[in-house]
Amino acid sequence: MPKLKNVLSGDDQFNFLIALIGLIHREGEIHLDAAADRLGLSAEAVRKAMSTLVVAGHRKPSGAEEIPFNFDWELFDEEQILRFSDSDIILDAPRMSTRQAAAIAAGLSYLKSLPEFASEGDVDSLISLLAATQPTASPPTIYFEAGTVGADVGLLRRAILAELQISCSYTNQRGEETVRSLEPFRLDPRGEVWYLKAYCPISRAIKSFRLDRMRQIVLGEHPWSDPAREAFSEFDQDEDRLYVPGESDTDVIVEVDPEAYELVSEFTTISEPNASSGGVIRVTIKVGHLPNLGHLIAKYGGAARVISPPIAKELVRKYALSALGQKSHNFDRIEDED
Amino acid sequence: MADNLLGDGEWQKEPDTKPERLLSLTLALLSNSVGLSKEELFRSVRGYSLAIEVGVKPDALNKMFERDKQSLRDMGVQVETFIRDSDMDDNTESRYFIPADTFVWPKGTSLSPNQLRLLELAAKVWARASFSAEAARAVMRLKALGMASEGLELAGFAPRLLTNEPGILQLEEAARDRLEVTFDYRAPDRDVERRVVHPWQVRHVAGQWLLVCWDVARQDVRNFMLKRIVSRIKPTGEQFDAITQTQLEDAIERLRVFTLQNTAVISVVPGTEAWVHFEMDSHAHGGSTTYEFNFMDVHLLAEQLRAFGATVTVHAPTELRDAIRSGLERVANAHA
Repeated sequence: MPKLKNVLSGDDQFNFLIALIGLIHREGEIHLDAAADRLGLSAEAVRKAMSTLVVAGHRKPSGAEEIPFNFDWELFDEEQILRFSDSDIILDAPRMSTRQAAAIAAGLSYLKSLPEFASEGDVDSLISLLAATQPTASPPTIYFEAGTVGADVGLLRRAILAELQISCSYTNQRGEETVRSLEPFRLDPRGEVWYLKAYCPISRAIKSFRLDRMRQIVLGEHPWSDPAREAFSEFDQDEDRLYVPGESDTDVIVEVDPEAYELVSEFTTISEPNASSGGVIRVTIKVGHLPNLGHLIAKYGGAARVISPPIAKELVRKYALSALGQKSHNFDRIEDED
Repeated sequence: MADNLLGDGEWQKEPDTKPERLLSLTLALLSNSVGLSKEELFRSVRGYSLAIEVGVKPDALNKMFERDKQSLRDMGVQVETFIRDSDMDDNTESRYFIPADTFVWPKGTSLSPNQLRLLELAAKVWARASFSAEAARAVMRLKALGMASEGLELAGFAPRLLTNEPGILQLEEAARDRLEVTFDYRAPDRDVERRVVHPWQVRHVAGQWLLVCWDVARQDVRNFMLKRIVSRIKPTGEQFDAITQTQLEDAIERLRVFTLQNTAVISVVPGTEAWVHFEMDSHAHGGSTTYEFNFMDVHLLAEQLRAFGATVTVHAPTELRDAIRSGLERVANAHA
């Protein structure tokens, strides 16, 4: 997990405090740094939390007697070790809220739909465990139905873990098939479509490749090349966009109805549709290769519209007319990511 | 000043006292077996007594307490209320407590490193999406169970759930709290209609988020695609009865049967992207250029097929062909 930002909301801080107390209880004693590491926050955040604990005691209802937080402050000051001094009030690790459990359970049901995890008995046992800790037994409120994925996923995963190159044939959008050598880095499942992020030696960059366009994948014997390793080490692991805008990209203003929000979701934060506008929003998106706009926009059947530049509008119109069979079938379509 | 103590408002200027107050409140409610009255809590929880000292009015203090209780409940802390038997006749105030066994994990709960790895991955699935904050909080609580997850292999795999639909959180919440909701829905080729529904489950099917629900006006089960909701989602104030697993399964079975009734027949130009996409290059197809398959929603399939341009020809059903054609015509007109 990425390190969380140290600026936490009030609810996040409370969540952190009870998790920290639970962790100390479970461990008996734990060093400040280890606790920070375990909870995915900085040592500074843990220190700040400790200062909150100092004042978080409460009084007997009479108001007279102060009940301090039973903590070994001396040990903390001297050795930065966290430990309770007696067991008057001890909070064990807090269970999840219903919403937290729902988010995790949905994530688990998603994992279960992937071939990689389909046979993991642990996934089922965890789903039952989460259900058992919730106050009421009811059907899951969010669920991910298993889809179908190609069989090559396992092979690609092996290549990634063993840091090996692969070769495959790849068909681009123009139907041109080429045999390629790629250095696979990460699998990015996106609903029905899976992408492989890989270093492409020809373009000397990390690119996304659609698995449904890859054929005859063969595990190579060569390990990742030095340029590939360098590219991977510079790659931000938290970057989960499929398309990372480049400097030479064209700004295209599009207007989308809710039906086509997915087109702009990587470029803006989408809030709930405003009824008075019918949910129509205008967003500037970055496009690496303008002719791609044709199929990207036309698939939505009018729910996405290019506003500017004029050349982009023209490309979309040509694509639509060509698909309608009103022009030559050899419309101008150029591959997107590769 | 009072605003700052209430925990919202300009919290950057003054330290936020809410986390500390919630923690004190939790500790007080957990450690007292006979429960505490509101007055007792106002005296014993430092956050409240401080607020009283700086002159926060009783009304504001009561509101602060109500909000704190709600915050705790939202975060899975079950604050319970009762009236002591001895107080019954006097009709006196409620007492509050947190049953300790509802706060912590069931006795003996522990997770293996592999289980923790899976839970972390499950949380990561929501990165950047609607549930990511909840999932991250959940992971923090899981880690408090006391295992290290270091050295576990997560590399090479970044499954992410797409939630472009802003209403997903609200609908899930409504399903959980059994709240009737209303929204404007735009079915393809139809006018926008206001719907009143009982949300049962938010379900990801074939790349789409659906709401499986009970449509109040139609008195029947309906599935709505989240991306066709074109207004805010509002609770009506009504609550509905809990549904059973069987009711939900029946609804999902109906959708499955419906899908099996829809068959598309297309042909594809050999050697094209569509050709590879539909795996017609494989030997299984024996060189045929025609492909037959089931689909859930004709307009959704039309969307998918429009991206293949003129390399795909639809033979059946007619409404699929029409949907593709009219969509392309709209695109051409909108970009003239």
